[in-house]
Amino acid sequence: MARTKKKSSDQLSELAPVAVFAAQPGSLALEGELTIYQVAEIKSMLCDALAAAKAAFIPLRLNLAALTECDGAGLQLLLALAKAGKAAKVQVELQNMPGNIAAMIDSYGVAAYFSTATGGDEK
Amino acid sequence: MSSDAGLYDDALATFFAEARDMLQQIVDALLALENDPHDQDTINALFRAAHTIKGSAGLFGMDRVVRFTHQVESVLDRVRNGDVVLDIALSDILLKSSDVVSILLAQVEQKIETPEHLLEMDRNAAAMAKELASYLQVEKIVTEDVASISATVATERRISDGVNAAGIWHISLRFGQDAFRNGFDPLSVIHYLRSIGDIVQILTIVDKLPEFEALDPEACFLGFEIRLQQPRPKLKQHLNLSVAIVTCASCRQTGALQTTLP
Repeated sequence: MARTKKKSSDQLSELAPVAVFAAQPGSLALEGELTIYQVAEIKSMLCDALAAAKAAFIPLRLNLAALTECDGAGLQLLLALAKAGKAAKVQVELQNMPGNIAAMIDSYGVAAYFSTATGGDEK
Repeated sequence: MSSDAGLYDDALATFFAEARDMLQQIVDALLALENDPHDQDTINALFRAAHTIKGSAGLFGMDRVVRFTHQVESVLDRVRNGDVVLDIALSDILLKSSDVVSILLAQVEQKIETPEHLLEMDRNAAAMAKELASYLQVEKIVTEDVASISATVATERRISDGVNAAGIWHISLRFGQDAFRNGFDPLSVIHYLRSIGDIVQILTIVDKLPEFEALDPEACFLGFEIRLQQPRPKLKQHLNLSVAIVTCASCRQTGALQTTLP
């Protein structure tokens, strides 16, 4: 899939062990691993992003194209975000989910919690 | 030996074989890193190998292996994040640590249960863990982990026999909040169940999740309701052995599983 990625000007993704960067308001990309080792850091970013999306009345789109791994803690975080989105009336959309992550979500019977998309060319 | 016990023994044998493989990978990676200490791919592989050993050992309730490997993994996490440099001194400690893991595993595998042997090894492991701890910010991890693991062990373990003609079991799983932090991934129980039977239905329980803002993402709030087709008796024993950090695992003959989302 031909896609372009934008990095924020401070190049956060090159400094942090987990690259999470805002392409634009209402949009985040998760890269690398989403496991017990990253969930604390990623959660605080998701928290900010969710609040911003709520304030602006826009959906929150997570681009998962470069997500490589997700464990139980990662799955729990995604589920918590989906619940929070529902409560805050913010549509949370998981975009470009890699096959292995989609298969995992499917195998735990939780696919229904998420709205997904394969397009999602931010801009 | 019943076929059921055989199944469990097979899973265990696979675990030991894989763990030995991982340990060899750790040794190879450490030696390779002595020549090229900044090779991030090898550092990541090193970390993953330790993480996998710990996770799988947790699945089989091998707390001594989990505790020690947790220390190794924590140090490797700091290495891969660039907080600690993998110099020759640390490499040496890690090589010795992999020997400790190897011996701890061998003790389980050979069912060595004599207190003197276990105690002596635990002393060795504790000494090694102390050296590892000097590379961590917090030095109390070793002792605290012991307590927290035993504290989360089955406070409300209710496993009752009962299986219907089709061999469908209903399994309810709830986990201690420390599960993730103790290196236990609840998903590994599901993997295990998949290896011994067919999961015909699974419902992930999320109603214990706190509000997003208040959520501690490193605490475990997940639960599972599972229908497993496994036409053998004694499923109870398997679960008993694999649920060291499960606070509630009930297993009973099933009717229909409610599939409504909360």
